[in-house]
Amino acid sequence: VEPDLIDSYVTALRGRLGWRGDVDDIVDEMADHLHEHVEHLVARGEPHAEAQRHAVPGSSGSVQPVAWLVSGVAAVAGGYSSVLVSWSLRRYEIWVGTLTVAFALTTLTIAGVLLRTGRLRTGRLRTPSGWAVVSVGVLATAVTYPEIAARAKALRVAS
Amino acid sequence: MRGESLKGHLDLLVLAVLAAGPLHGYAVIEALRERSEQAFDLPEGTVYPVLHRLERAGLLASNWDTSRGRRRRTYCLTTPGRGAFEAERLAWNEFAAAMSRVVRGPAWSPT
Repeated sequence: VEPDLIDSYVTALRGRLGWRGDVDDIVDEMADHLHEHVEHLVARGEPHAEAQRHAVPGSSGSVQPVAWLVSGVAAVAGGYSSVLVSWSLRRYEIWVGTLTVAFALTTLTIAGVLLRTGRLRTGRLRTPSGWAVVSVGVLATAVTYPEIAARAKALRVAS
Repeated sequence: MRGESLKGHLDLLVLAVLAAGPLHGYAVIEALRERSEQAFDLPEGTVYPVLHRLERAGLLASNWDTSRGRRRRTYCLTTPGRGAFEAERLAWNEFAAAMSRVVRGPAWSPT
């Protein structure tokens, strides 16, 4: 049985907005909007399950910020791991400084995006800030990958 | 057309569709799409904040009823809202006419 995406979305929305006094009104209005949208799509010939996927935000395979959060942190953590070896002190300092700034900027940007969208698990990454996060993550990966690969090769040779 | 392109005009657009009569949120979005001949396909995240803001400003009022077993909020213009709509519409018509005159420019003639 296909799970009811509207119910799931509305339940999650209620959880996120539970601190607001008007949460019931917001959730009921959104639920009515989504049901109306689905009925409109079904009336145009779309299957009900497909209509739900189109209507409910974040349920049509969109990029999820939490995935980018994990990949960005992993990339930066990879960068840190690459400097925990016996390099020259000067090189070590440059790497630590660069990666610390990158890590701080990435964390602040991700936090800002998530706070603004309020969609940690279901939101779409559509804002310019969101793509800035992605760019930082990709850049961190690109910068750190050669060092990680070189270290791995050195370890293979040593063993 | 993206919501960003309509910033500054959303209030007038919403007031305009509600000037024809009370509508719920989804119907407002549909009315914007239909009356613009599909040009204004605005997401709910753009339209609902405008509705709520206009209500807080006293230009719209909302009522809750039940439709097909669901609670439904319907918006309508208040008296100040109708006045604001007429004033905004007049200002827009003057602005659009002036823009059109400038953009159209004088007739071009090869010399």
